[in-house]
Amino acid sequence: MKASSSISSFKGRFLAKVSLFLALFMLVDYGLGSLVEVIYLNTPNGPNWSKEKWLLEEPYDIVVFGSSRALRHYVPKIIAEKTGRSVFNAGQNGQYLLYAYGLEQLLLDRLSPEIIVLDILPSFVVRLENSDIEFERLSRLAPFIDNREIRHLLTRGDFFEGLKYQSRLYRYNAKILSILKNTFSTPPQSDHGFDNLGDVRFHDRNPFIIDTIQNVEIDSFKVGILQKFVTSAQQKGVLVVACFSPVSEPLSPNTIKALDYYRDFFAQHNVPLLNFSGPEYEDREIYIDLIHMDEIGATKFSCQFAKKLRTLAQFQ
Amino acid sequence: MLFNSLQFAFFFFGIVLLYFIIPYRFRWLLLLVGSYFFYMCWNWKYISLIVVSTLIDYFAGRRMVALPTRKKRLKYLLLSLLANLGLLFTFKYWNFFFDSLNTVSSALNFSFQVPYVNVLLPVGISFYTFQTLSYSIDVYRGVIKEERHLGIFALYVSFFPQLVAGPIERASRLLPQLLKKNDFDEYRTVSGLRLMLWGLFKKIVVANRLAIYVDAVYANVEFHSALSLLIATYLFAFQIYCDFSGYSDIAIGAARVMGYDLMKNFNRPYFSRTINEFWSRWHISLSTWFRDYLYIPLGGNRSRRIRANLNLFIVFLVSGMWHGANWTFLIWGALHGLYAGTSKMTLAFRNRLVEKLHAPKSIVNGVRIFVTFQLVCLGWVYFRASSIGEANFIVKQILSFDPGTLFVPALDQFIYGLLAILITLLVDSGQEWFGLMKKFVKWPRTIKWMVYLALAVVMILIGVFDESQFIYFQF
Repeated sequence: MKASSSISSFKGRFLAKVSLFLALFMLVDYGLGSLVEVIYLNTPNGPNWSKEKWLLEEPYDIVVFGSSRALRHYVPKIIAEKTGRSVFNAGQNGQYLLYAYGLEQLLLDRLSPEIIVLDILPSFVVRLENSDIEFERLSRLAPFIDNREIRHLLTRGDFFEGLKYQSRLYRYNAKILSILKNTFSTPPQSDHGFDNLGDVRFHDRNPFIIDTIQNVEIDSFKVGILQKFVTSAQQKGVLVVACFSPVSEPLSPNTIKALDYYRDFFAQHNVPLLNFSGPEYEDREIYIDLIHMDEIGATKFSCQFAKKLRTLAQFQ
Repeated sequence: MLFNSLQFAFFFFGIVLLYFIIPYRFRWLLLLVGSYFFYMCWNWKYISLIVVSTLIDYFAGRRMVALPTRKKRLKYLLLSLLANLGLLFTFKYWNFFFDSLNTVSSALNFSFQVPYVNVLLPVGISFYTFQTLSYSIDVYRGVIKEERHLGIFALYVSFFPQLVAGPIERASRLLPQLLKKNDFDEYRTVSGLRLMLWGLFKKIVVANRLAIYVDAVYANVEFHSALSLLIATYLFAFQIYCDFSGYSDIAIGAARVMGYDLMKNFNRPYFSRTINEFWSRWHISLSTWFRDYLYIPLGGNRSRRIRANLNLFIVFLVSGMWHGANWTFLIWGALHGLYAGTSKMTLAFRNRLVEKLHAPKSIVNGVRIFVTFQLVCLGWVYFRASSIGEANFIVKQILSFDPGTLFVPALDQFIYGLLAILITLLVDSGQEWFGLMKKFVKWPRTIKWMVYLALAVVMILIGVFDESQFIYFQF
């Protein structure tokens, strides 16, 4: 009896120590997490890093969302000159529809631009083999987990994923060196989010992901996200424009199939779709690879895009 | 349910709490149900394989003890061997074996087609098969008595901390512990949790982080320079060490919290001065298994030198095959067999050479550690590559002495990896040469807690929490 009660008191003391340690851990996590957050929020703008923060701090009339194609193709300076509106390029390397949606939600929470442009990729609405990668890359948005939509995208409603984000430090997982670098380095000159690669020699690579798959199948989850992307902006009175920017070669049957789907979808949702694919742009001299234009191509495209946008939006 | 998931944390602490609350006589039942649940979280159907293996070995053990001579017991040993190795062969080697046979038959111009077995490889099958086999062999040899309690025996086969990737325990060590009454012991619990934390660090911060670079390079070896291939191979050496030893640490730590002492599986292998020493420090539970149940029965080193080396070579070949149904693993095993034989044969000569050179011991040891590490890394190329052709290409590229440019997709991620290796090396060398752990446990609690917190913070800041599987799960 005496032995067992002494064991119980051992257990009790141990549990008390464990609780104290956990409390201390939470305190350290909260303290350090808050410190990193302050540093993050005060970093000067890097070209790609802290792009989200940059977009959310300054109001822009036109915001372009999309992947690396958006990032490389839309020159804000040119579009701004032609339309008389301020422009931000929110395209991001290696990111697709989910990221665009998450960032759009953050933007609409704070500001209401006049026009939102979505540069579409054929794969935005197609089921891909390794769809987890798209979710994993969303960790870029982790500092904004307090937003309900971002939380849903990052955790996918999973209890344990949600639990991980209770840690304040975890929001900055694998970001600390970038934050420090951006704190102590001078930000390079950048044109409102546009990534200028300059004159790079053409490499015959980077076809659209869907050109390499057998059966194109529409992903209902992604379509749902696309729908929310459009309707949430429209509900705020924002004009949504979809655009398929140029490619260096004639379109594959898979891409044509995806574009047909987009045509119907956007027509149903009253979203104008601008399609810039065609012989006029099928010139490898203005591309760095099969689907990304160089600076000359981006300049040419941005002029024509701005012209069409101006007509579409009936700017004065 | 992986050790590096929050699901496991909840499961484990739930089990531990219940373990110390419920009466002693029900603990085996709790652990058995918990272990089966743990396994079924991966694939509920495959628990049947464990149950079949358990029942056959239990029955064989009971029958063998009732028989007076080895000769009479033999048929039950054969039953156990056939059943366990049969399952292993069917699930792991069938396709590989008949594929190879098809290739040979095609080359000899006659058709030989055996249908593919399209099944998932059951997680941990090589581990629990070897564990149950050791029981049957030991009972046959009369080294241990049979376990009469079916529940305890089932727990021995399926004990969750070491079920899917070892350490491969012997019945003589684990069974008596499962029958013992364990009271709560704070010192032991803290020591177990500390080991689990360190294991998690190695997995999440080192192995998972390095995997990103290694996978990127090894996925397209033909596009990478010699320097990138060399660096990726070195990083893989640390990835696999931290992945597997991390798993072992978590397994040993988890068992220790509940009062069970599992065998040490790793002993800082990259500080080995010879290949034979490496194998006494790497995957110790498997090396000693092969020593006791294959090498010694083959004649061990009691036979003539050539025969002893042949025995050693056979053991390494089988060890290679144990790892996976691929020729690359066979070559890996053969390479280590050659290393071990050559190392043994030249040891006396090398020792004489060192004596003559009068070089300081530290330098000699340093050179030996370096050379051993390079040889082990050469083996890792074959272990990691997807085919022998790919591995040969990597070796050829590296030996071309044309380094080229280093592939660094994201500098900060690369730095995290190097930082993680540095921390592991510092801790390992502190333990190797200064007995760090013995000193650490005597440090004031405040300092120890600060170290634990620092480890946790580093884990959160630079760890990779994608719940990727442990490499050895595929074996």
